[in-house]
Amino acid sequence: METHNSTHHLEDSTSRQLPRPTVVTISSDSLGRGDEELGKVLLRNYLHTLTQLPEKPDTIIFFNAGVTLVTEGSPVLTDLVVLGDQGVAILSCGTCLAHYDLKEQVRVGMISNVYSIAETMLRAANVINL
Amino acid sequence: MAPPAAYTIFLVLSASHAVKGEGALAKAGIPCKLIPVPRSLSSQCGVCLRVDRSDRTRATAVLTAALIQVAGIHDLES
Repeated sequence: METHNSTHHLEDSTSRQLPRPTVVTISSDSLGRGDEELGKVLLRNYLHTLTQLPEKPDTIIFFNAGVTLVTEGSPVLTDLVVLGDQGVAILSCGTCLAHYDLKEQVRVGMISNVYSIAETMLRAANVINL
Repeated sequence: MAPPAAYTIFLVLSASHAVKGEGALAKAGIPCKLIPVPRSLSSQCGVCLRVDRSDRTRATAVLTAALIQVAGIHDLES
Protein backbone atom coordinates (compact mmCIF):
# COMPACT_ATOMS: atom_id res chain seq x y z
CA MET A 1 0.00 0.00 0.00
CA GLU A 2 1.48 3.36 -0.95
CA THR A 3 0.45 6.70 0.39
CA HIS A 4 1.60 10.27 -0.01
CA ASN A 5 1.72 10.66 3.73
CA SER A 6 4.67 8.51 4.58
CA THR A 7 4.90 9.26 8.30
CA HIS A 8 2.52 7.04 10.17
CA HIS A 9 2.52 6.15 13.81
CA LEU A 10 0.53 3.53 15.63
CA GLU A 11 -1.94 5.41 17.74
CA ASP A 12 -5.60 5.56 18.53
CA SER A 13 -7.24 5.93 15.13
CA THR A 14 -10.12 7.88 16.64
CA SER A 15 -7.75 10.69 17.63
CA ARG A 16 -6.83 11.52 14.03
CA GLN A 17 -8.68 13.12 11.18
CA LEU A 18 -8.15 11.98 7.61
CA PRO A 19 -6.66 14.55 5.25
CA ARG A 20 -9.49 15.71 2.99
CA PRO A 21 -10.24 14.66 0.44
CA THR A 22 -8.81 11.16 0.72
CA VAL A 23 -8.92 8.94 -2.36
CA VAL A 24 -8.30 5.19 -2.52
CA THR A 25 -7.39 3.65 -5.86
CA ILE A 26 -7.78 -0.06 -6.57
CA SER A 27 -6.24 -1.48 -9.74
CA SER A 28 -6.64 -5.18 -9.13
CA ASP A 29 -9.01 -7.68 -7.57
CA SER A 30 -6.17 -8.81 -5.32
CA LEU A 31 -4.25 -6.87 -2.67
CA GLY A 32 -0.47 -6.95 -2.76
CA ARG A 33 1.97 -9.23 -4.51
CA GLY A 34 2.38 -12.91 -3.77
CA ASP A 35 -0.37 -15.46 -3.33
CA GLU A 36 -3.33 -14.32 -5.42
CA GLU A 37 -5.96 -16.14 -3.37
CA LEU A 38 -4.64 -14.52 -0.21
CA GLY A 39 -4.60 -11.16 -1.95
CA LYS A 40 -8.26 -11.48 -2.87
CA VAL A 41 -9.15 -12.29 0.73
CA LEU A 42 -7.12 -9.31 1.95
CA LEU A 43 -8.87 -6.95 -0.42
CA ARG A 44 -12.27 -8.22 0.68
CA ASN A 45 -11.20 -7.75 4.29
CA TYR A 46 -9.98 -4.24 3.58
CA LEU A 47 -13.18 -3.08 1.91
CA HIS A 48 -15.37 -4.66 4.59
CA THR A 49 -13.27 -2.97 7.26
CA LEU A 50 -13.82 0.41 5.62
CA THR A 51 -17.56 -0.08 6.13
CA GLN A 52 -16.95 -0.58 9.85
CA LEU A 53 -14.53 2.26 10.57
CA PRO A 54 -15.70 5.77 11.45
CA GLU A 55 -13.22 7.30 8.99
CA LYS A 56 -14.05 6.89 5.32
CA PRO A 57 -12.27 7.84 2.14
CA ASP A 58 -14.14 10.40 0.08
CA THR A 59 -13.71 8.43 -3.13
CA ILE A 60 -12.68 4.96 -4.23
CA ILE A 61 -11.51 4.68 -7.83
CA PHE A 62 -11.34 1.34 -9.64
CA PHE A 63 -8.94 0.77 -12.52
CA ASN A 64 -7.94 -2.08 -14.79
CA ALA A 65 -8.92 -5.48 -13.30
CA GLY A 66 -10.12 -3.65 -10.19
CA VAL A 67 -13.30 -2.75 -12.09
CA THR A 68 -14.46 -6.36 -11.84
CA LEU A 69 -15.18 -5.57 -8.18
CA VAL A 70 -18.06 -3.23 -9.00
CA THR A 71 -19.81 -5.69 -11.28
CA GLU A 72 -22.39 -8.43 -10.88
CA GLY A 73 -21.08 -11.36 -8.88
CA SER A 74 -18.35 -9.39 -7.13
CA PRO A 75 -17.64 -10.69 -3.62
CA VAL A 76 -17.41 -7.10 -2.33
CA LEU A 77 -20.54 -5.73 -3.97
CA THR A 78 -22.54 -5.50 -0.74
CA ASP A 79 -19.67 -3.72 1.02
CA LEU A 80 -19.32 -1.23 -1.84
CA VAL A 81 -23.06 -0.55 -1.73
CA VAL A 82 -22.75 0.11 2.01
CA LEU A 83 -19.81 2.45 1.43
CA GLY A 84 -21.81 4.28 -1.21
CA ASP A 85 -24.67 4.66 1.27
CA GLN A 86 -22.15 5.96 3.79
CA GLY A 87 -21.21 8.75 1.40
CA VAL A 88 -18.16 7.33 -0.34
CA ALA A 89 -18.09 8.05 -4.08
CA ILE A 90 -17.40 4.90 -6.10
CA LEU A 91 -15.88 5.62 -9.51
CA SER A 92 -14.92 3.09 -12.15
CA CYS A 93 -12.78 3.60 -15.21
CA GLY A 94 -15.01 3.42 -18.29
CA THR A 95 -12.16 2.42 -20.59
CA CYS A 96 -11.35 -0.49 -18.31
CA LEU A 97 -14.98 -1.63 -18.12
CA ALA A 98 -15.18 -1.52 -21.90
CA HIS A 99 -11.94 -3.45 -22.21
CA TYR A 100 -13.30 -6.25 -20.03
CA ASP A 101 -16.76 -5.94 -21.63
CA LEU A 102 -18.33 -5.27 -18.24
CA LYS A 103 -20.14 -1.96 -18.73
CA GLU A 104 -23.54 -3.62 -18.60
CA GLN A 105 -22.60 -5.51 -15.45
CA VAL A 106 -21.84 -2.51 -13.23
CA ARG A 107 -23.92 -2.67 -10.05
CA VAL A 108 -22.52 0.06 -7.85
CA GLY A 109 -21.12 3.57 -8.25
CA MET A 110 -20.58 5.61 -11.37
CA ILE A 111 -18.75 4.94 -14.61
CA SER A 112 -16.19 7.69 -14.93
CA ASN A 113 -13.54 8.88 -17.37
CA VAL A 114 -9.89 9.79 -17.19
CA TYR A 115 -10.62 13.52 -16.86
CA SER A 116 -12.77 13.13 -13.79
CA ILE A 117 -10.44 10.52 -12.34
CA ALA A 118 -7.36 12.66 -12.88
CA GLU A 119 -9.08 15.73 -11.42
CA THR A 120 -10.25 13.77 -8.40
CA MET A 121 -6.75 12.50 -7.75
CA LEU A 122 -5.07 15.89 -8.32
CA ARG A 123 -7.45 17.61 -5.92
CA ALA A 124 -6.96 14.96 -3.23
CA ALA A 125 -4.94 15.70 -0.12
CA ASN A 126 -4.23 12.00 0.28
CA VAL A 127 -4.15 9.27 -2.39
CA ILE A 128 -3.84 5.67 -1.23
CA ASN A 129 -2.92 3.26 -4.01
CA LEU A 130 -3.73 -0.36 -3.20
CA MET B 1 -36.26 -0.05 15.40
CA ALA B 2 -35.36 -3.47 14.00
CA PRO B 3 -33.56 -5.82 16.40
CA PRO B 4 -29.81 -6.25 15.76
CA ALA B 5 -28.90 -9.03 13.37
CA ALA B 6 -27.68 -12.17 15.08
CA TYR B 7 -24.66 -13.85 13.59
CA THR B 8 -22.38 -16.75 14.26
CA ILE B 9 -18.68 -16.28 13.59
CA PHE B 10 -16.44 -19.22 12.69
CA LEU B 11 -12.77 -18.53 13.32
CA VAL B 12 -10.57 -20.54 10.97
CA LEU B 13 -6.87 -21.22 10.91
CA SER B 14 -5.99 -19.51 7.64
CA ALA B 15 -7.28 -17.54 4.69
CA SER B 16 -7.22 -20.74 2.64
CA HIS B 17 -9.53 -22.45 5.11
CA ALA B 18 -11.82 -19.44 5.00
CA VAL B 19 -12.07 -19.56 1.21
CA LYS B 20 -12.60 -23.31 1.22
CA GLY B 21 -15.20 -23.00 3.96
CA GLU B 22 -16.99 -20.24 2.11
CA GLY B 23 -17.22 -22.49 -0.93
CA ALA B 24 -18.56 -25.39 1.11
CA LEU B 25 -21.21 -23.21 2.74
CA ALA B 26 -22.24 -21.72 -0.59
CA LYS B 27 -22.54 -25.20 -2.07
CA ALA B 28 -24.79 -26.14 0.85
CA GLY B 29 -26.95 -23.08 0.23
CA ILE B 30 -25.95 -21.33 3.45
CA PRO B 31 -25.44 -17.57 3.03
CA CYS B 32 -22.03 -16.63 4.35
CA LYS B 33 -19.73 -13.64 4.41
CA LEU B 34 -15.98 -13.78 4.66
CA ILE B 35 -14.92 -10.93 6.97
CA PRO B 36 -11.95 -9.83 9.08
CA VAL B 37 -11.98 -11.22 12.61
CA PRO B 38 -13.87 -8.63 14.69
CA ARG B 39 -11.74 -6.66 17.13
CA SER B 40 -14.01 -7.81 19.92
CA LEU B 41 -12.83 -11.38 19.34
CA SER B 42 -9.14 -10.92 18.65
CA SER B 43 -6.55 -8.21 18.22
CA GLN B 44 -4.69 -10.36 15.73
CA CYS B 45 -5.05 -10.10 11.97
CA GLY B 46 -7.27 -12.85 10.67
CA VAL B 47 -10.21 -13.83 8.57
CA CYS B 48 -13.40 -15.61 9.56
CA LEU B 49 -16.75 -16.76 8.25
CA ARG B 50 -19.99 -15.09 9.29
CA VAL B 51 -23.38 -16.79 8.94
CA ASP B 52 -26.82 -16.00 10.28
CA ARG B 53 -27.33 -17.40 13.76
CA SER B 54 -30.18 -19.50 12.44
CA ASP B 55 -27.68 -21.38 10.25
CA ARG B 56 -25.23 -22.06 13.08
CA THR B 57 -25.88 -25.78 13.47
CA ARG B 58 -26.04 -26.51 9.77
CA ALA B 59 -22.95 -24.46 9.04
CA THR B 60 -21.02 -26.23 11.76
CA ALA B 61 -21.89 -29.58 10.20
CA VAL B 62 -20.96 -28.41 6.70
CA LEU B 63 -17.60 -27.02 7.81
CA THR B 64 -16.82 -30.17 9.78
CA ALA B 65 -17.68 -32.36 6.80
CA ALA B 66 -15.49 -30.20 4.56
CA LEU B 67 -12.56 -30.68 6.97
CA ILE B 68 -12.30 -26.97 7.70
CA GLN B 69 -10.27 -26.44 10.85
CA VAL B 70 -12.43 -24.21 13.01
CA ALA B 71 -10.54 -22.51 15.83
CA GLY B 72 -13.58 -21.04 17.52
CA ILE B 73 -17.29 -20.36 17.20
CA HIS B 74 -18.80 -17.15 18.54
CA ASP B 75 -22.30 -15.72 18.54
CA LEU B 76 -22.43 -11.99 17.92
CA GLU B 77 -24.97 -9.31 17.28
CA SER B 78 -24.35 -6.66 14.67
